[in-house]
Order: sequence, then C-alpha cells, then structure tokens
Amino acid sequence: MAWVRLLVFVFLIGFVSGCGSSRDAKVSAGDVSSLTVWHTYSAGSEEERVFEETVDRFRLANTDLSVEVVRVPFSQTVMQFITASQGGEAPDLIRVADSHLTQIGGVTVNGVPLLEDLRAHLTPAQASRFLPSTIKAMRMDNALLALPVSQSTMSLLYNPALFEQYGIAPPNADWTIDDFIETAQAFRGTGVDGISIPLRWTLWVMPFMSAYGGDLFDGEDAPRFAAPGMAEALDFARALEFELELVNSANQIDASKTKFSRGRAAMIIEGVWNIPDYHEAGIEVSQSLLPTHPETGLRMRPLNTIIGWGISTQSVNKPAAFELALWLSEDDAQQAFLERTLTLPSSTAVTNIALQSDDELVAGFVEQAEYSFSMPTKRGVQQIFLVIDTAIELVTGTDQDAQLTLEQAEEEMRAILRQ
Amino acid sequence: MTRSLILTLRSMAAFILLGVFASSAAAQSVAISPAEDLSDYRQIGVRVDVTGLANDQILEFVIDDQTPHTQILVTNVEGIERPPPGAALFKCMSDGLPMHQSETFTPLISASTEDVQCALSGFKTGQAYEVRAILRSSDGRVLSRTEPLKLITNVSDVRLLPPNTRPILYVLGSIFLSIITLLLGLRWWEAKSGRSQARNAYFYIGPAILALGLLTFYPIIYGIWLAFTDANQTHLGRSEFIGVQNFFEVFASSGLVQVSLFTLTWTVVNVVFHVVLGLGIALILNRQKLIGRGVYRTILLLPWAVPAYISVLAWQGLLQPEGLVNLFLGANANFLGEANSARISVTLVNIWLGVPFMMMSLAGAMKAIPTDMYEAADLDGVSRYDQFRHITFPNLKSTLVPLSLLSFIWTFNMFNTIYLLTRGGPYLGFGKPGATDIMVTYIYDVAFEYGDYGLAAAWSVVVFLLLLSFSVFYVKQTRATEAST
Repeated sequence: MAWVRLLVFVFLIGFVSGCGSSRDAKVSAGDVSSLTVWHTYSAGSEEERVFEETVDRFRLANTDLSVEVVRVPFSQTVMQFITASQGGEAPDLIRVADSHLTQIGGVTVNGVPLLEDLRAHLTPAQASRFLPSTIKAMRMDNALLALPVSQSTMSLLYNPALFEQYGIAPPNADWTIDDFIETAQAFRGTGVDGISIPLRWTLWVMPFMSAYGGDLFDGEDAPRFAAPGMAEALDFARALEFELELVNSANQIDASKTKFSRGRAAMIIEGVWNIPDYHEAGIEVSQSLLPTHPETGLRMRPLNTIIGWGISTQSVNKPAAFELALWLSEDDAQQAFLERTLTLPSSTAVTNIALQSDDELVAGFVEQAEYSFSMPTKRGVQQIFLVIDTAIELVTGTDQDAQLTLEQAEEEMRAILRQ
Repeated sequence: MTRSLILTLRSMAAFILLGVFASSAAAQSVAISPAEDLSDYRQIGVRVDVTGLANDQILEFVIDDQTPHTQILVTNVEGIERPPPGAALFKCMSDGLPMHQSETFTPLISASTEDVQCALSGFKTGQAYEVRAILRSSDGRVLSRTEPLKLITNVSDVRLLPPNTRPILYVLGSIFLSIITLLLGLRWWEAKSGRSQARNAYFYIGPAILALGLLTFYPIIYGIWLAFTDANQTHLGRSEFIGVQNFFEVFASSGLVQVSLFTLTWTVVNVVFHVVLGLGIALILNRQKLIGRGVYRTILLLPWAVPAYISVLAWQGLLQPEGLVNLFLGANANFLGEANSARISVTLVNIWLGVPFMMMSLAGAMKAIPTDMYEAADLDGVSRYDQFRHITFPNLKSTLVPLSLLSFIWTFNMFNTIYLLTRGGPYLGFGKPGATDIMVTYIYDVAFEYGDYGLAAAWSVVVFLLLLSFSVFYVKQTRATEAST
C-alpha cells in the first residue's frame, strides 16, 4: 500500500514539475517598490561607506521605495550578472566598468540584451553634466549602457621623503622619459629602487606605447599596435628590466606596491585607489604627471577606466532605477567620493572644481585623467590584455623581434574584434 | 527740395526697416506639433516647424514650463557629418535626416533648417507633460515661444522575461519518473522471481540514484547536447543544433596538439610521482620501529588538510622572484614567468598537493596486510625488497589500481593548481593556449573568456571520452576486479 501511495506521489510531482513556470502567463509585475543594487566597492572601504550614505539619502527622499544593496566582487561582476540574468534574477542596477560593458554588452538572452539602453531615459540636459569622454565610454553599438559615475587612472607617484633624503630633484610635469630614467639611476647604490613598475603587464606598458607611438587605437577603433614607435616602447620596457636593470620586480604587481609602501622604492606608476594603503603604511605620497617622450613630445598616457551604473533589462521599475543611477552620479555624490576617497569624477562641474583643488593629489590625478585614454567599448576589446601580455612575454622572454611581435599582436587583435 | 528728399529717404528707410522686422518676426515664429511615430517607451515625439533661423540661436524644449530638456544650437554645420541612423545619443532629425551633433553631444542644425523632429527622452509612461518650444538668441533672449503642447506616451516597457524553465523542469521530471519507474519495475521483477530479500534494497538506494540522476546525469547529458549547438554568449537561450561542427573545430584547433601534449605530460608525471612518493612514504611510515610516526603522519597530511586554493596561493607567493624559494636559492628566478620553469613549478606544486592522499590511502591498505606473512618471510630469510615485491605490492594492487585511476582522472581535470598559479600562462603565441594550459583550463578560457559555450562543451565531451576510454582500458589491463577478489 505504501508503494502505491509513493507511486501516486511521484506521478503528482512529475506532473506538477512542468507547471512551475509559464511564459504565457507573462511574468508577474514584480515588486515595483523595491530596487536591488549590485555594487563592487571593497568590503569596509571608504568607498563603500560613501556609497551607502548616498543610498541612504535616496531612501529618505523616496520613502515609497526600498533599496537593497548587494556587494559583488569587481572581477566577477560579468559572470555573476550574466548568470543572474539567465535565471531571471538580475539586479535592477549594477556598477560596471567600460571593460565590463565590452563583455556584457554583446550578450543577449532570448534575443534581448542584458543592459537597458539609457538613451530613452536620459535627457540632453542631464547628459550635459557629464564629461563627453565618460559618456562615450559607456556607449556600445550606439546604445548608452550605463550612466558614468567615476574615472580611474594611474599616474606617477613618488615618495618625497626619499628624494629629500638623497638630495635628488623630485619629478615635475615638464619631465621627459630621459629625466625619469636619470633620476631612477641616481638612486642606484642607495638601497632604494628608483622606480618600481610591473613592466610585464599590459597596463604598465601602455603608457610607454602611447608616448612612443601615439594612440593604441585609431579613429575607427582599430588597433594600431604596430605603428611606428610602438616597438621601440616594447624594447625600452625590456631595456628597463635587463639592460638598465632599473626594474627587478617586472612581473609582480603586489611586489611593486610592497616596495613602495615600505619606502624601498622612490617612484611608482600607480592608481589613485592605492594611495590610502600607502598613507596607512606611513608613506607620504606626492604625484606628478607622467613624463613626455623627448622626441615625439607625447606624454605617457595611462588607461582610463570609466565606471558607471547600468540598468538591467529585467528591472520591473526602470524609471526608479534610473532615478537612483542619476542620484548616485549627482555632483554632490561625486564631490563626496572625490573628497573622501579620491575617486575621479565624471561630472564636468566637479572636474573643474577638482582641477582648482588645493589638494595636490586630487588636482594632479584629475589632470592626469585628461592625459589618459579609454579603450573603445567594443566586444572583444578586453582581450587586449592577453594579446599585449603575450607580446611582452615574447619580446622579454624569448627575445622575439618587437616589431614582428606587435604586427602579430595587431593582427590577432583585429581578428578578435572581427569575431 | 532738400527737405522733401530727406523725408523721402526717411520714409524709404522706415519702409525698409519695417520690412526687415516683419520678415524677421515671420522667421522666428515656431510651431510645435506631436510626432506620434517618434513616441516610444519613455519618449515623446515632437515636431517643430521653423523658418529663417540665424546662427547662434538656440531652439529649446522646456517641460512643464520649468525643466529645460533639449537645447539645439543653430550653427554652421558644414564639414560636420550627420551621424548614421540610430547612432546619435539623442533621437532628433532635421529636415528628415539624423541631426548633426557636436563633440559634446549637443544637437546642431543649420540656419536653413525648417523641420525639426525629436523623440524627447525621460518621460514616464502614462503621465501627461506640457512641452513648449522656445527660440532664444545667443544671449538668451526669448525670440519666440510656442503654446504648451500637452503630450503623453503610453508605450510600456519591453523587458527581458525570465527564461522559460518549463522544458528543463519537464526533463528533470521525466528523469525522476523514469528512475522511480525503473526501481519499481526492478522491485516487481525481484518479487516475481522470488528473491524477496532484496526488495527493500531499491527503496534504500532510490534517493541516491535520484540525486545522481538529477545532479550528475542531467548536467552530463545537457553538456553533451550543448556540444552539438552553437550556444554562445551573444545569443543565450537561442542556440541551434549545428551537428558536429564544434568537434571539427576542436580537432582543427591550432592549440590542440600543444594542450594535449602538456595535459598528458602533466598527468603522467603527476600520477607517477604521486604513486611512487606516496608508496615510499607509506612504507617508511609503516615501519614499526619508526619513532614519532604520528607526528610525521600529521605533518605529511597538512598539504591535503589545508584547502588546495590556500596552498596554491601560498606557493604562488613563494615562487615569486622575491619569494622565499628564491631567497633560499639566493637567486632571482622568474619561476612562473618563463615557460619551462612554469611547467615544472605547477607540476611540483601539484605533486606536493597529491602525495598525502596517496600516502594515507596506501598506508591504510598496508595495515590490512596480515603481519604473519611478513613474520613467515622473515623466518625464511626473505629480503626487504623481496618482501615488498612478493607480499606488499601484490596485496596493495587492489588499492593501487583504483587509486592511480582516481589520481589520473583528478590530475587530468586539476583546474585549481594551474589556474591559481599561472592562469595557464605564460602565453607564447597569439590565439594559442598558454604554456601551462591543460585541457580543463583551456576549456574554461573558451567558455568564459571567449563566451563560446558550444565549443567548450565539445572540448569537454572530448575530455570525457578520453578519460572514459582510458579508464576502461586501464581497468581491463590491470584486471582490477580480479585482483580485488
């Protein structure tokens, strides 16, 4: 008898299992009074605190809405968002970098893109508040996939105490790469490294490439890695490590930082986000624009990552999600981020204020952002890191000719972008 | 005469001025009307008819008489290309063509423009707004203003529906029912054939079989199905059957030989060292006279007890040019940065990780060998080597065969060690696997870096078939079943 009952139960389960979901029924209206936001700020960081305070103010101003904040790791944003979208569990709002957009932007589920085109939401008056370059970075295949909220770039940081101790002139904005090298060499024999740069990594080689050979992408967003001068940049990076022996932590990002934070390196090319760590380690940090190339006259330009807020196409309350995105990118919010976390703004007004700031680091990094470049927001462009990393490895590890290597790299990148 | 001439000239001048004013007043008249065809979700279409604009004037849309919305600058647009249809940040048209825009996304029109159409953005569905067009001079003076036009968009949101999970639930339900039916059938057959003692066994193994079916067999079957489709990140949920195309791509892949060779080398070297070192250490630990066996055993077990990813990350730090290994060696070697040293490093770390398991399992198996066999051998004067050869090894065979098979399969699929140490790098060729890529790490890249799920699934099927063939061959060759009985 028990077996008969079990059998009936099992069949019931089997029949019911197919009735759990129905597209015909159209999805429920969803809870329009709540928003879920995925952010990528580090746990317990000042950025997270400023963000939560900004969201709290939004909650107070919109008491009819509840906002749930969820932290996701920056490096896992793309996969988690794609997976959540496939399961119908995407958040309303998500913090994304332009590099994320190149991966999420081309993804569709059942023919629908994952991120909302914000052009229908944003008015021209609202758009005029943002730096055009930041808006451009948030666009892919004509759509506007996120509202820019900040920029993130690298600059030349130095330890003024070490320069003073050894009587060496500190960097300045008029420096050339030659001056940079001479100064680094002046530290030889002091027990302090002149420079500490992980030169086996694309992110740190890009500024040299831009000073030697100009833009990494042309006006049509096609790679130009093999342009005149680029190979010299790669050879120069190699020489810094092997011939000039100025860089001995070429393949380690963390080791470079550790050296600088322990006062064992005088200069480092680094992002603004690490400055709190150096302050915590008791290191006084000054900043200078990256140097120029003595012959081309071009300034070393680091990569500028633009970060913004995107809205999921699954959101049941897109107007409210957009209001929150606008709120998070308001000038007041950006000003708070700038003052408390040195986060570079996307707002034209806040940028202008920052350029006049008494804070040398704030003004300096905002100026450096003007001498930086963003990668085209195209599917596949993120592979540039693998392609240039491989080129660096071939040139430094196997002595392959730099020009030939960069020609191969350019061809590979073009093939990736074509796909 | 002079006076009449002056009067005539004055009247002519007045006539000319009046004419100018009259004409300019006519040019600055702006008329606004709805443009229904431009209305969309959160967008309201408006059309403005203008004539005789002058450069530097601004045509502005204001919402509810207070909120500035769009400012269109009248300027010389020669030399500025119109954006391709759909490419502009804001949907506006002048004289039926996409409107010019500045570098800062400001819409631009020429002074000769007569027809302006815009899809004004940012409106809520179902809510009425008053839109007014205002023409201003360059210094902001209002030259002309339309009456407010009451507009509304009723276009609702098109949003991504949650995926249709019904087919998946049907499949899972079918598997569930099939297994239950099978078990009931077997039970009925047992009962019919009179072997009543085993009847309840099906009830007991039912949950485990169901769990296996739903959590193991279904994903495997789905993975195999995926290998025959064009499943790709760009069109999730809309994959189509493409036959064996993905398998052709796998076998035509330029990286196949490289990644297969390293996978094989990596697996064989690891398994050999796991077995040899594990067996050697187990033999030492099995010696009765060894003092502090428990301590050694605990220490040797640590690599296995610590989560693998922590151990691997620790090794990653140790192997850096300024890490502890270089410090001991007095060198500045880039172990993980050079191809050959990276291959050796990942292999050594994985050997270090795998030996404790082998050692513990073999030590346990040695305990099960009756001691009287060794005592008899001692009495007969059999050497230690011959005791190992004729007593220990044959008795361990039933344990060694499945253990080495497991070790082979685990090592073949060992993702953590390589991914956390080198991520498959260093890369010594464009579009090719890295120097330390094994099949599973390469499959990960294909799936999650390139988003090609169908191709990655085909690679996985190849790996599955390879391991299955090896397992069958190995078990047959070693006659493991016979040995164990």
